[in-house]
Amino acid sequence: MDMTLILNNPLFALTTALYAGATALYVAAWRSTKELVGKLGTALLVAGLSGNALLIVSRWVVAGRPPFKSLMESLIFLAFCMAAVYLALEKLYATRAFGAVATLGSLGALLFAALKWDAEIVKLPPALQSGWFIPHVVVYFVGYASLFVATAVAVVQLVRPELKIRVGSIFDGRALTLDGVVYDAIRFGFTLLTVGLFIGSIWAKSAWGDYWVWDPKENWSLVTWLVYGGYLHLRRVNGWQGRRAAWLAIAGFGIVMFTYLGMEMLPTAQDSAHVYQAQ
Amino acid sequence: MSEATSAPVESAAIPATRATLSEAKRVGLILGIALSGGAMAQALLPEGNGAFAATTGVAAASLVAAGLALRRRLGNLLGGFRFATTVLFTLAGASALGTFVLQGRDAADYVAKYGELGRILVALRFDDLFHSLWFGGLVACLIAGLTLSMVTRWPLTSRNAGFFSCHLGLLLVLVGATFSALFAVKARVDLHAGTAATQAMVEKRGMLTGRAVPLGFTLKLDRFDVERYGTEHRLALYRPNSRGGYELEATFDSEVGVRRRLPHGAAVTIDKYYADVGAPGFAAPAKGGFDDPAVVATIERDGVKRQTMFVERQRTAVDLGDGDVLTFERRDDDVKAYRSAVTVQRPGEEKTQVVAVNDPLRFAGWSIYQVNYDPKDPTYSGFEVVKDPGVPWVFLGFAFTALGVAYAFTIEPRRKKSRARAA
Repeated sequence: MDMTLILNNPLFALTTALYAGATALYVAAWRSTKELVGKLGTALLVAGLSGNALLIVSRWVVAGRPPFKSLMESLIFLAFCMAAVYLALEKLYATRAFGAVATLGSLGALLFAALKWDAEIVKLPPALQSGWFIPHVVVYFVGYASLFVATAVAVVQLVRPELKIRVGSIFDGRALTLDGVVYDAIRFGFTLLTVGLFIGSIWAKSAWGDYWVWDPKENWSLVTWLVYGGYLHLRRVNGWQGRRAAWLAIAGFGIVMFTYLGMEMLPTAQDSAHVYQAQ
Repeated sequence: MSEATSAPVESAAIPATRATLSEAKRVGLILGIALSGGAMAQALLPEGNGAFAATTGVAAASLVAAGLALRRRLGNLLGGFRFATTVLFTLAGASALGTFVLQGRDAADYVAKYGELGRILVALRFDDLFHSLWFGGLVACLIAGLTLSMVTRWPLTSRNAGFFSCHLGLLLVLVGATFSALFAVKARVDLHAGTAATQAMVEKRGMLTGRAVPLGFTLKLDRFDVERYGTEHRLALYRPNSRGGYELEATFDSEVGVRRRLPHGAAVTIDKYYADVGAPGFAAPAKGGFDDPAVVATIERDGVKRQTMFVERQRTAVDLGDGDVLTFERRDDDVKAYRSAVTVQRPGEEKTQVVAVNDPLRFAGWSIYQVNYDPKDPTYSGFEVVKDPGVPWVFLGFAFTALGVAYAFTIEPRRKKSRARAA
């Protein structure tokens, strides 16, 4: 996609710029002693999130359907979910320590969306005109966003192991380790993966008569679920907390990304109903 | 299998190196036996869901019985976190593998695609991986782990309710899936408007078997309708691709007065839209809509403006320079929905309903799904009829699992922290 064409959508360009600004300020906040820098980062991120929400709503209105059909649309929604989940965590844990890494996700998703820009709006085929469509996508993408934020914190945990989050978690008023934040975010993400997987299965049953057909995307959703299920069990095994668990969280998100973006690489994907078609 | 609350990690009190090695080896041994046992069994047993369910069931029951008999030495191991983790990761690896190897093709196809490796893949039943008996061995380990983890953590309390709900739910899903594999019937019915059927052609893994199954009622197609999205016309920008052709880069709707940016500093604005340039004075059709649409657009490039009329039927194309081409195109009216008005009838009972994608009809224990249409034959409608006694069990299992996971990972941790604060 020629970037000039994206300028036909100034809101997209503005939202991307706001996310970029937020990322830069969060990076600066790591070094700066002034809290204002971090606060400005949060303000820009909130502005970016609002722009992102407007992008989704405007696309919804123009397309006349939920804007989750094409890869570009889903990336824009993923950027929104990542920013929203990160902001929730920033509020819950009262820290901006992992803002720089987390906002890179939203920025990266929008930049990738720019590369995958739709030539035109795709119509919704009959199978996707279902009451299950919105809950399935929303639950999964909030889950993905939560797992991304967990990964971002795991990266911070590996890069800055000395970092301790200050007291202020609204959960229990006690200090949390980064390891604990990763664990919390993965538990939340895993819950949504579970619900999303089952919603997808119930939807498949109502659309095609089968709740499971071993479609590659289904399989990789199962792989993702099994890997994070394994992670949650493995944390109870001696020696599998801290850095090793952080590496596993990062690897788990790699599988999430493959499930989301890698299906067309599979030889079995030719019959899949889930692969994003090139526009 | 995991408990919801953050219990102490396993093996904490045992010297780490020796205990870890020993437990890991034992877990590996059990999994190795399950996988190799399944691989050997599939050399002796016929293919099919029956053999899969039987061997998986026997293996799972044997493991559970052995775990109960040797509770301390084996039961705790099979119901433990390390075994659970290993089984989950191995299942993940096997499920992933099944997406890298084409499934359900003829043996010759594998040899053609993979050479000698293809023969090995077929021998190991990687060509139908999810029905192979070594995969069944893995499922048996999962069932044993789920069961024994519940046995070792009994009794049920409010603290471990999520754990029990989740693990019981997964067992219910597996029970339901077994019922589906053994007893579900899936079949095709192809009808034309005005025709009826009393039987359906049985399918197995998406292929017709040639066997017919009586429905026990008459399924009549009264009417078939295809609804389409409205036709529209758009300005379309094409760019040359590396294969010597053109690729659609962007399209713009026919809204008048909106300036659109184009590559290389160019821009286009539609000045006028005509619904019928074939009519005298370009008058719009009296019936509304369009007949022979066209737009007049101003193209700007390098500070120069020029006006062009794009007529859809003439496929007017303007070279923008650098190989880019702007044209005015019709967008075909894609199918929005297709639905069948059907009547189902059996002695003493009759029902008329519209069946559409995502909106099946349930009658006499069957579910009837709208799955197919033929753009060249407007009277044809394709149905899938399904009778699957496993579905209620699977969905009940989904509910138990989802509620259990949600309780264990979102509600119970907060309750635990509240208890800690109170203490």
